[in-house]
Amino acid sequence: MVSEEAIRGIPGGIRGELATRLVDLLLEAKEGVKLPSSKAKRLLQLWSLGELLESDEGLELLLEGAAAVDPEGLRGILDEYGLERLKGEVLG
Amino acid sequence: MRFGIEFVPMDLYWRTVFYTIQAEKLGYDHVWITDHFNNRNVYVTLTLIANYTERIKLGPGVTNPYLVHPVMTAQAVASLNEIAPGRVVCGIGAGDRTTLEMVGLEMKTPLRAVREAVEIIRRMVAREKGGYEGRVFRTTGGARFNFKVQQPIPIYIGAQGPKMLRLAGSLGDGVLINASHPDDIAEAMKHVREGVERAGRSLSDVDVAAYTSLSVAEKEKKARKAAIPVVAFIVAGSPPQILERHGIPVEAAEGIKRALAERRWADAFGAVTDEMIEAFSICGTPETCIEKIEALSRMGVTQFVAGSPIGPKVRGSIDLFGREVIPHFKD
Repeated sequence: MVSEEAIRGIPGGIRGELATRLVDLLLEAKEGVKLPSSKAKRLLQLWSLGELLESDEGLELLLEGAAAVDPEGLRGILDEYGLERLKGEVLG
Repeated sequence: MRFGIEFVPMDLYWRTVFYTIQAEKLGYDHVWITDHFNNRNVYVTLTLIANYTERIKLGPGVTNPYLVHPVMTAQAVASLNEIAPGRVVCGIGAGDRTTLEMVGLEMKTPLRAVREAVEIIRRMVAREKGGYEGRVFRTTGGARFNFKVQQPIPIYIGAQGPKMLRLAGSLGDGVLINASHPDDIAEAMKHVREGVERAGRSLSDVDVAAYTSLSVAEKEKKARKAAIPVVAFIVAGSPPQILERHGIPVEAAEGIKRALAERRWADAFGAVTDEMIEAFSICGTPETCIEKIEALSRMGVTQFVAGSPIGPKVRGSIDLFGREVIPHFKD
C-alpha cells in the first residue's frame, strides 16, 4: 500500500509524465501476468473513465502494479525522478 | 474512411483491452480480434472490450466455420450484442489450413462452407423459422435462439483469393482483404466488384476493409525495423503469384520459410528486404502512412485496419496514428 500522503507528495509537474512511464512499464513488462486480476480490472475501469493518469487512485494503482510486475524497472524510474520516500513505501 | 485496429490476443487480456480503450478515445471505429485456438479466446476478449468501451465496433476478425460451428458463432455474436448493442460485427473466413490441420480438421469446400456459415448466422440472428439444408451444414427447424437479437449484426468475409473475394462482394456486408499494397488491393477489388455486380448489389453496400500490416513511428527506420518479423511471416505464407507480382523471388521466400520453421530468427529476419516491407506492410512515418492510405482509398477501400505489429511500441504507435493519421481522413 502507498500512503495518500506519499502520492500527494509527488510534484504536480511530473505526475503526468510519471504516470505515462508507469503505464509503459506495465504494458511492456515480461511478467505482466503478475498484475493481480482485481488491479487489472480497476486499471481498465479508471483508464476508460479517463482517470488513470490524472487521479491519486490511478497513480497509486500504477505504482502498485509496477511494483508487482517489474520492481527493478520501477526502482529505476523512481530514482530518475528522485522520489526516495515513495520508493521506500512502494518497494520497501 | 473508417479506421479499424486488429489485435491478436496472444498478450494478456487487460493489455488488449487497454489498447482498445486507447484506440476508442483516439477515434478508431472498429476493433477486430483474431480467432485462433492457441491464443486467448476471442469472445472472452471481446466481452471485456464491450464492457469497457462505449462506441467502438467490435468483432472476431476472423473466425472460421470449421473450428466453430456457425450456430455457435451466431450465438456468440448475438450474446455480445446484448452487451454492446449495435456495435457488434462478425468477421468470418475459411481459416488457416495449417492451424486447422493441427487439430485434424480439413478445409473442405471453403467457399461453400463460408457461404453456408454466413447464411446460417444471418438466419439465426433473424430467428428465421425452418431448417437449413446446406451441403456442409444442416440445421433443423428447432435450431433457433430462445432470445431476440435487437440489432443487425453485419457480417464481413475475410478473403484473399479471387473466388472468396467474389463471394464476399456478393454476400458480405463487408469484406476484409488481407493486403497492404495498392496493387494487391486493386487486384482484389476487381473480384469484389464482380461479386457485387453478379448479386445485383452496389459497391457502396459493402464496407471494403484493407486488413493491413501497419508499422508507424516518428522515424522511418524504427517503423521498418518493427515491421520485419511480421513481414517475414507474410512473405513465407504468400503464394507464388503474389510474390511474383511484387518482384520477390520465390526462392527468397522459401529461404525465409525454412528459417522460420527451424526457428533461425536472425536468418529469417535478416533476409527480409525493403521490397518485401514495401509489398506487405504500410510502414513509415505518419506522413508516409497517409500517402499510402490515400492510395488505398482511391482503390475503393472504405476501412483501413491497422494490423500487427502497429509499431515499435504498441501504445505509442496507436497514439501516433490516432493523432496524426486518422484526423487527416476524418476532418
